[in-house]
Amino acid sequence: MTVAGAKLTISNVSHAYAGVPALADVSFDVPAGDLTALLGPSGCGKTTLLRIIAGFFRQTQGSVLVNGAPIDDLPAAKRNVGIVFQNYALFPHLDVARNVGYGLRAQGAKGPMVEARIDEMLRLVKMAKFANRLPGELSGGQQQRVALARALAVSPRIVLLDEPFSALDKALRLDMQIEVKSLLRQSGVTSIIVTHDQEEALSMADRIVVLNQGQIEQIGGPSELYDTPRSLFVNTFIGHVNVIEGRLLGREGSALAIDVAGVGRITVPTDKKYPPGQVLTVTVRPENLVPDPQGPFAGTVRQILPLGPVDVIEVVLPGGTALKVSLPHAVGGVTLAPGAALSLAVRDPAGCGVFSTASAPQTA
Amino acid sequence: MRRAGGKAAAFLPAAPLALFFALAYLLPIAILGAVSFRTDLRAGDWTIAHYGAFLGDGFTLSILLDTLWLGLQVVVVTLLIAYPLGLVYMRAGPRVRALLVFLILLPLLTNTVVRTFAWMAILGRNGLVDTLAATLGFTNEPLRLLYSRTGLVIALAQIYLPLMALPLNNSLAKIDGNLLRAAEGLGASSAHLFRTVILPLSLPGAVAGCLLVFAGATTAFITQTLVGGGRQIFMPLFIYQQALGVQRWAFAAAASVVFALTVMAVVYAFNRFARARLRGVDA
Ligand SMILES: Nc1ncnc2c1ncn2[C@@H]1O[C@H](COP(=O)(O)OP(=O)(O)OP(=O)(O)O)[C@@H](O)[C@H]1O
Ligand SMILES: [Mg+2]
Repeated sequence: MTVAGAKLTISNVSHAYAGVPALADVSFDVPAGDLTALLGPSGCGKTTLLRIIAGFFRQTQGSVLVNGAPIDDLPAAKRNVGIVFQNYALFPHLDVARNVGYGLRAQGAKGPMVEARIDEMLRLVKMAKFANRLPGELSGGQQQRVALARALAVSPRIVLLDEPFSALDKALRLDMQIEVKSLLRQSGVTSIIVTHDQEEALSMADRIVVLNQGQIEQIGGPSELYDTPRSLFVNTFIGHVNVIEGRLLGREGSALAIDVAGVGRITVPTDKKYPPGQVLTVTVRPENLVPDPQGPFAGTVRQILPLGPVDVIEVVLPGGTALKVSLPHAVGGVTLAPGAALSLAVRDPAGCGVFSTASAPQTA
Repeated sequence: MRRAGGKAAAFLPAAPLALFFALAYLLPIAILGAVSFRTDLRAGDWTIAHYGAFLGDGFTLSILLDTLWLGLQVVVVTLLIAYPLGLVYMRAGPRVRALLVFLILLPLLTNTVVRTFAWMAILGRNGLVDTLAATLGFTNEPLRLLYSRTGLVIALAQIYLPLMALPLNNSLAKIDGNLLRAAEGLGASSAHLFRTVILPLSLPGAVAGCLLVFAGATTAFITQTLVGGGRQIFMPLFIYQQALGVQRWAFAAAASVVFALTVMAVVYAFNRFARARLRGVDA
């Protein structure tokens, strides 16, 4: 059951609903067989882009190409693009087997071949026992599997998944993420998974396209986006981050010296250039901070959040800025009490970000 | 027991309506039923002779069957008109939907008698249809639609269309747009999509519409009589003639009972048949 995935290209796609822009000049490639996540806050245009790729309506501008050939003039029924909807959209009047076989029969296939394929797909998603159930008689996770089997049964070149796990509870979500990822890998199909959950994007995708207000903020691998975000938006949207405001004092070799109110002078390595005196935003991840009596960030502990594998301590600086530091959990947990004095230092200055505050995009 | 008393008290405000219903509806039916088993309206013994006469006579049975057949014809015509209309409604935005509902309801704002006379003017000799057909050069002969079966079916279909269109639209509008997208994305043609998704999921509305239109069209005394002209006899007119024309009250009562039970049986059987097909569909 190897399906050759196709290379998908989104080329300068813009879309406006009755004059109101929803997507602006979006371009990216998904290599054949790759799993790309489309990540962004609610309303940023993810579903819009998915529907354009599926062919449910035509974009205002730009082009969608499969293996280099434009498919803009093909109706949805001819695109061979599988879709898994957020609400699964299983046919409520058809049993599981008929749902899975729907696409094959719609395309004119008949007889034992169809039955065999249905069997194969149901076994793949471990739903063979439920072949005769109606969708209404299944749990969310089971419906999810049927929806995936239905989409994959027609051997699509491309599969689009629109927030496929948002209706599942957290424990099941993780199971399904692992399962779906391996199913998509196994079938070799090119896929795009839409999500506004950054953890989901990081854990599932080979590459992530970050969308914000209809525009691409950044494209990259999970670690790349996490470690070297190109904008404050990406930095704050993916993972947790502490945001510190300061004024630029000047360049010192390969770093910028920045004055932070209530903290003093800190240096951050970067080759970005700003005029002295500009207000800048410095970002540092919670795991990139460590307690250090000599550290520049001296404050008081406000609260301690034991999250299991890590303990997060919130420290309030004299200027009012709150910093979160996360420490690997040690047996017994954190012995500090709220109100205690604690100084923090940056573990690796290269992991800090510097952005000009003036152009800071809204954070989610 | 106190709870039961409380329940009874809760129904108290409905008592006047219940009383009215009993007096104006149940009582006459009871009387009708009783009369149908008497040899005569005023005097006589109990008998089932009228039922025998009705059911044993090919002529009266043919009137009954023809009335059911008329109902079926009207149902089919309204279905054929309501589905395309419903497909437009389903894909329309809220404003177009409101306009469509208004247009569908419009005929209900006119009295049945008035509408029937309007149809007589439209279908009659030198009426709108004839004039139009002549002007467009189709024919110079009058089409003789008034008093014809075709004309009657057309008029009844127009009059009862809202009863089909409203529940059907309601059912169609409830279909999740993603189901249509899913089917389309899986390669379904429009025809396949209609047959395998839209039709089954709109069945509850269509069934309700069919039942309403069937019950309405088979019993539409005024329209059947005026547009059909005295030449076509259906059960309502037949019962009227037997009762008031030739004063065979008891026989007319028996005919009424048979007619009512037959229509109910058809409605019930159709409902059973349709429900069995509605597995998984929200009614
Ligand atoms: N049919 C429509 N008509 C007009 N505007 C629309 C329509 N669908 C979406 N929009 C608008 O386009 C923008 C993008 O919507 P879209 O559904 O693509 O967002 P999304 O990223 O999928 O959000 P979510 O995460 O909430 O699903 C939003 O501002 C939305 O209001
Ligand atoms: Mg969406």
